[in-house]
Amino acid sequence: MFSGRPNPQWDTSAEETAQISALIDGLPDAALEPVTDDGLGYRGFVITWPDGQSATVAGAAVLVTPVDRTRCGKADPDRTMESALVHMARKYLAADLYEFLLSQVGAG
Amino acid sequence: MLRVTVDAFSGRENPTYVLDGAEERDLLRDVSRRRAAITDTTTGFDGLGFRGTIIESLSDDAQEGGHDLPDRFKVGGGGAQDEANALDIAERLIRGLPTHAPAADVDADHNLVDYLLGLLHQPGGDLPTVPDGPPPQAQTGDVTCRIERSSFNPGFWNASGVIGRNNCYNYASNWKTNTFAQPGRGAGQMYTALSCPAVTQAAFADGCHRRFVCFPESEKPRRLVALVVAPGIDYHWYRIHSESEGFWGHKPGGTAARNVDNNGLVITNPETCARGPYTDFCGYFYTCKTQRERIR
Repeated sequence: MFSGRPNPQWDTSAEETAQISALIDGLPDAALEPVTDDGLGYRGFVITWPDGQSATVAGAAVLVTPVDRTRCGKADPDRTMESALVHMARKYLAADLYEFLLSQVGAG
Repeated sequence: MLRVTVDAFSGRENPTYVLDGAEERDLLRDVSRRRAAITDTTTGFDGLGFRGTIIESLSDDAQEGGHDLPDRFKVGGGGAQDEANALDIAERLIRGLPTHAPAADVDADHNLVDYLLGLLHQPGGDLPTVPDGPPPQAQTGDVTCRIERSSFNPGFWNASGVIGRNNCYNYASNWKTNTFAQPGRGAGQMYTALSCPAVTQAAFADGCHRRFVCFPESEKPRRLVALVVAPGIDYHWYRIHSESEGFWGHKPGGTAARNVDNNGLVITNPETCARGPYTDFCGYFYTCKTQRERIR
């Protein structure tokens, strides 16, 4: 979500990691659509696992890149994944940044 | 026999000519006496503009006079221990074009020589220098500064290994550090707040000037940039591009460099373009050679 400063990042707890994995696994596969890059402001979440797997979450678009790099799209029209990540962010971000994130996600 | 190539063009073929006999011996003797003026052909400036004069042997015969120079080397492209003599030798070779280059190969007239000599003595390649200002609301005493404007080249910034490690300040400074450069960090005076005054002061510490506080020729390339701030959250920079393009470019954090705003419109005015949360416009500034080399 930043341009000049490095983006905020944190390590999730084991419980949070399991929750994220379960949420992703529960989403139906969808057409592979590029996650929108909105320019300045909040652009989404990037999740990386120690084994190299990653996922990008921005609004209803979820893009999963497994270790074998064969990317797949997931459908999340209710933005459950993003909502969960915003909720988790509360304990990791300073209050002003969390408020900023909320305002940005809401604006999106 | 030696081939002399003036490496300066992008589209058309570089001017080239051949020296042999007494001229070859004379050149090799001259260069061998000023050996600190030469570099290998990969050293020095490598962008658009004058990149140096390349001298190469056309055979594997021993060099006339036994000077033990490399078979292929460059003069005048920057990076030599003795740049003054390098420029002198390069000028000599450029001035040799009209009498040596076959007319069918190169238009070696005085205009071409003058053009190449102009490039030779222009630091930083062929970036055009243009006047900047004074502003429309000019007051007595306001000045016009000279700045350099380069073409939009997002491919440089969007390459793998570059895109995620360079940010808007790198882009505005046109200087890749791979450190996500922060205003003031290289000068030991990084900003301590996310506000226009704080980030401006940090940029000043790096060597930026406010617009219309001119830099000398020795600080080329001098770029016109703009700073905006999301109060308390973050800052962002834009850089103006060539006059013919007329737009501004920017790089939002670790994302792709672009010339459009948050509404997808080409940026012709950073004060009024769609900037998302970066609501405070802090002003226009100049970056320069010293500043870009200081940023970290």
